[in-house]
Amino acid sequence: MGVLRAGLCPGLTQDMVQLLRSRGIKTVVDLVSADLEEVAQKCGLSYKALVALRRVLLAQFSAFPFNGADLYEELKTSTAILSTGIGSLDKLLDAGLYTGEVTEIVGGPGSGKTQVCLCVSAHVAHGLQQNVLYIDSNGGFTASRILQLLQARTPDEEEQAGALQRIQVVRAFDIFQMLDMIQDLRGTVAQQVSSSSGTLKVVIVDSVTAVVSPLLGGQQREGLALMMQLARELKTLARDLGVAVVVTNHMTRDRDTGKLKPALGRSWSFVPSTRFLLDVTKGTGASDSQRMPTGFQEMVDLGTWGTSEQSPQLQGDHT
Amino acid sequence: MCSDFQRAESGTELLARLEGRSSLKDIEPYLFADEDSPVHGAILEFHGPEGTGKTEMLYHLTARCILPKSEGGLEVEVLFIDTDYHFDMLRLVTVLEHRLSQSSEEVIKHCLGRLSLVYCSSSTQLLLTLYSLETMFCSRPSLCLLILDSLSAFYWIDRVNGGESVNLQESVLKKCSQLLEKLVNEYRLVLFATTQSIMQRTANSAEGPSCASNRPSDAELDYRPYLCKAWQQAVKHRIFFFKHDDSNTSNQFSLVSRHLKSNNLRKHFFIIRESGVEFC
Repeated sequence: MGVLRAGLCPGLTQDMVQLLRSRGIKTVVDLVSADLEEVAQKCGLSYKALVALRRVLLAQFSAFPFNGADLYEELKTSTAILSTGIGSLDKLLDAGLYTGEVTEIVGGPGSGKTQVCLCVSAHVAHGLQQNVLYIDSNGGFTASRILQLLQARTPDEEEQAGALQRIQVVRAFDIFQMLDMIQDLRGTVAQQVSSSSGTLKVVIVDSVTAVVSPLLGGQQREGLALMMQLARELKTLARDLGVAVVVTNHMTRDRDTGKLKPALGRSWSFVPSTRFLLDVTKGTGASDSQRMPTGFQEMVDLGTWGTSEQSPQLQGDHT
Repeated sequence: MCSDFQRAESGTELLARLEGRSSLKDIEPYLFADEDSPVHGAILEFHGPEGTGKTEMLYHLTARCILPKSEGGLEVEVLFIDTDYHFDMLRLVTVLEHRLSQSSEEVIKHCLGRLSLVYCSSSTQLLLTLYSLETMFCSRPSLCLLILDSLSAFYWIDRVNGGESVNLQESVLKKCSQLLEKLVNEYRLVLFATTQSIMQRTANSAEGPSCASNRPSDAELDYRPYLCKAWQQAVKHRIFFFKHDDSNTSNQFSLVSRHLKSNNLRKHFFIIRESGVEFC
């Protein structure tokens, strides 16, 4: 999208491009916003041809409106709610992770973000028999820990092996690698017919702060633009592929008040649909979701995570 | 652009324009700080940080419009332009279900049939989409409400794409603002656009466009205009959203509505229930 060139759309010949360029009309936007009668006179092109060209360009490059009822039908069939495998977390998240959305886990160091991601991976791979893509950007993923979680779920080694095969781990240590990875993912999913081992349902990015925060700070806008580009890629990935995207984020101190707040700033705060906070001192998780009232809290017991039985120690605490 | 006003209108365009779009006067009186200002042709900007109820307010307005008259709605069509994949259809359906006296799939689908949704992935696409939507406004006189969530989604990406010149960086958004103003005036629509508060209060002035603080009352409202001048001039009402952080009223929000010409200010409180926004 952008510059006019021959063959960009049917009816746009090299001669037309040259004539238009000589009159200062170089991009699609220039042509669409120009007064076509004037252009026809100045360039010697036929008004009808220009009007037709404008219509074709608009049809090709503008977004198409969807009817609300059709969209609702489509969403009803394609949206899935995936349980995280942790009962109290499911309650916080309004039954679980929604496909088509980005969910964010925020917490300080050692609060259990990677642990939650590993539990979700184990549950989705073993309990729901679906594929997981784990994008690791700070080296927190260990296969032995996942194996432990699976061993706690089932003693059958074949089942464990099957579940392990459904979890794909990739490492991306800077933002460009991560963006490439997402592009590659789209490519492979587009080509593949759904394999017998299940379809991709969850993409976990642990953590997004590790690749973005080195870019922020100072007067550079490029960092913010890259962050927003990553945000856009993640959201379109969730929407187009029908997967639940889970990202983890760190905490940072507010410059003025000194209070802890999620990192990556205000622009990022608009990106996830649901954000929940893990606080290790109180052992609670508080959520901020566009669906649920904010401020819900739940007690989660670290020791019992990953097991499929309900432990009597789990408590619920709603505000 | 002005030449468009001089071109001859086709018969359908004339009828569509004069036949009148049904009155949106009662859409939500709390949002208008100046009761005498006309509703049609108005551009209202919702501004606020994340989690302050802007998108909920948009669902509230959408529901008001698409519900049938028998259920207290206005029975008009709405066009929702979503620039950051923020729109949650399931939430809107929940709001509708709670507001209908008898909700069934049939009725919900009928209401949703009045809603059109467009997703834009860049500011250039937004501009081109607005041009192509002109035919839609012409041919559907029951389409009265235009919602844009949000206008600031491409801000950082545009700033980098524009290189060093601020004019170039803002050029596409400027064209969008001018086109929006023209469409709203010509087809007598109402536009609600959200902009996110993405600027830090104490950031250096080199970070954003120079913020002329010639409106001292805005300082307390933590408002830093960062979008292009063309947009600032197009907006008639600016509505700031706040969330109250006290633990016992964790669900309380408030909005301050300011009419930019007459400088009238109104403050209202609201809460958000399952059925959407409810003014206190």
